[in-house]
Amino acid sequence: MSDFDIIKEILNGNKDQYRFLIERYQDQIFRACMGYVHCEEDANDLTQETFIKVYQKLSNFKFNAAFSTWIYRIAINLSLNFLRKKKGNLFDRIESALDSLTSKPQIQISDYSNPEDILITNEHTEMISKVIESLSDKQKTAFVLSKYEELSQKEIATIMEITEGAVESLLQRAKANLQKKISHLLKKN
Amino acid sequence: MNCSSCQKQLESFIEGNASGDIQMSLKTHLEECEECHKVYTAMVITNRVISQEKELKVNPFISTRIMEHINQQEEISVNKNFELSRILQPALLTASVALALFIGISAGNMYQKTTTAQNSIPEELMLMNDASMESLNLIITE
Repeated sequence: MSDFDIIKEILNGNKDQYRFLIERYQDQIFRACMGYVHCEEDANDLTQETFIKVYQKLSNFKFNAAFSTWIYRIAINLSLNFLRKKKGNLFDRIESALDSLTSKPQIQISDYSNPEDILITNEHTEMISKVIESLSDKQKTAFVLSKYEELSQKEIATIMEITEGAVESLLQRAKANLQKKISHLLKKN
Repeated sequence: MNCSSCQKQLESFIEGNASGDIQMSLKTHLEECEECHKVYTAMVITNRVISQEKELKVNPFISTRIMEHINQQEEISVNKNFELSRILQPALLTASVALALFIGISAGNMYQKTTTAQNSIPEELMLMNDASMESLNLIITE
């Protein structure tokens, strides 16, 4: 059964069919949300919020575009809003300021020559998530859809409503920014 | 190999797509150049962190949770509508009775006014005293 058929069924009152749509897209949406928030619990909450919002707005869905494109856009907007709210939350800012005062991340890399020898620690994960978070919204979205979702530049361009050339440029800048920031952080340690 | 060409080919090197010769020269350069080591490490760490995050699985009960939430929301909105109609029903009934009364009274007043206006005798005639009027016969005979 295609996405469009399921949506038509739901709009005709058979709401239990929505479960099939959830099960079809839940992994993709969760992965995309993870790319933004880097926290399993928050990503689960955002996935749930995305599907609830999609259900509420289903009557507005235009059948001229793919359902996956539409659901990705909603998930992206909710994730970016979540990050903005988190950034603006006074208590979180105080907490992270206290964390940075008390913790001294020990990044130790024993051997650069073999990727398998590089031990990934919690500090690394935290560092990467902070650096990804510091990218602009557009760079972040292009990066997440490319690296986490492994979508093609054409698919990313459709979701972001920009040209493929613009996606390529966003990805290049995102990668360059990440490399620069992470290698700078590694130098400091 | 210089730093610029090394950093351009790092991605394919990490993914294992670089050819044998390029791999060798990249390895030699990475052993000698600290700057490129850092970039290489940054890329490896980023890829590894992303892979770890991609391995995480969504809550297996999420579809049940979402469907429950949707059902609850719909029940709440139905109950809200019911509550609203329970409050609004007597209010609407009272208002419609009051409106009907008002229309009735206004229509009645309008009818009275129009009927009195049509059958009314001019004020001058009302003030006229018929008894004091002279008889027409008297005028003629005179």
